[in-house]
Amino acid sequence: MKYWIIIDSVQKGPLSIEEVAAENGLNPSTPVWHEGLSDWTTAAAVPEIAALLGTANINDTFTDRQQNFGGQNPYGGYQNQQQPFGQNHYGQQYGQQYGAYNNGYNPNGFGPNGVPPMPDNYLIWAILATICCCIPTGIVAIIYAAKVSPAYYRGDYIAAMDASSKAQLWVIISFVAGLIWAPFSVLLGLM
Amino acid sequence: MPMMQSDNRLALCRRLLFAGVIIAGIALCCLYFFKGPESGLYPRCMFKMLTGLSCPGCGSQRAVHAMMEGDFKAAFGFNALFMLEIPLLGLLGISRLLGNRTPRLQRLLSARFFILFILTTIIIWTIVRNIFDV
Repeated sequence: MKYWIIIDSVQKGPLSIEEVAAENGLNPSTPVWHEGLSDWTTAAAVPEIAALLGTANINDTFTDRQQNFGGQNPYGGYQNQQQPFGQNHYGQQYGQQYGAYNNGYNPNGFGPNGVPPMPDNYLIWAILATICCCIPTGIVAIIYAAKVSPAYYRGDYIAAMDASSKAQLWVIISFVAGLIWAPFSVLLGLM
Repeated sequence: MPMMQSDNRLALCRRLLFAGVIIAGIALCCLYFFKGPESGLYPRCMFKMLTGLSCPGCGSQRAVHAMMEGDFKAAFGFNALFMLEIPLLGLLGISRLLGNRTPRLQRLLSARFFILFILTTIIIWTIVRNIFDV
């Protein structure tokens, strides 16, 4: 199985488990994704990667987790003392959960190699917005549209998604500005 | 790789928006054919009213009307860039509909240099038309 991780805001992947082990700066809260997961999770929640981390770090994470349960669970303190068991228990639980995901369930319909489709760059709308609605915001939309594909082909899917949603946002702003302006301009024209 | 946002509602919104745009487009076409931009019924350009300069899209309404009457030469005279962008927008639309089936076309049309080229064209056109009054 291949893994994608984000260290210092830089996305790396696909990596084998050995390559993940070789990464410096891996800690329990490092974002991790692998095929079959519906969303990013943390290194501590992926049993194989959690196993690579130092025991001390893992204990920190699991203590955090158990503290979250603490309010509901009167035995929270007791569990903290039983960390080896707690660890084992969580490991199994996540193992089973993700095992289920891996049985052919692919929630977002990505291709067989786990590469997502390129996010839309809204270029058509950005050009229309620049020409027909509002020049400054339309230009911003075009600039964000230009950032989508380089980020995507570099493998930085998060940056591509981000540029895509910003292009969309500025297209919407342009069209809303144009729509607000339109009735005023008709009135002014008729006067 | 997972999407960072939930997409179902977004897809629905997009579809509704698309349908709305097409219906509005057809309605506008009918209106346009019978009452041209000279009637003063249509929105005016914010940029032109505020600055007195022509924006890159000024004249595109008259160009559409001229095209409807089959007068392409007049349409080019009203806004040449708009006439050139129509086939480009068509190509972009087709490439989007085809999606991953035409990877090289998609890659070219979404490349940074290509998009920045379009942006530069629009900016140069705006300057040129205001200097030479076209």
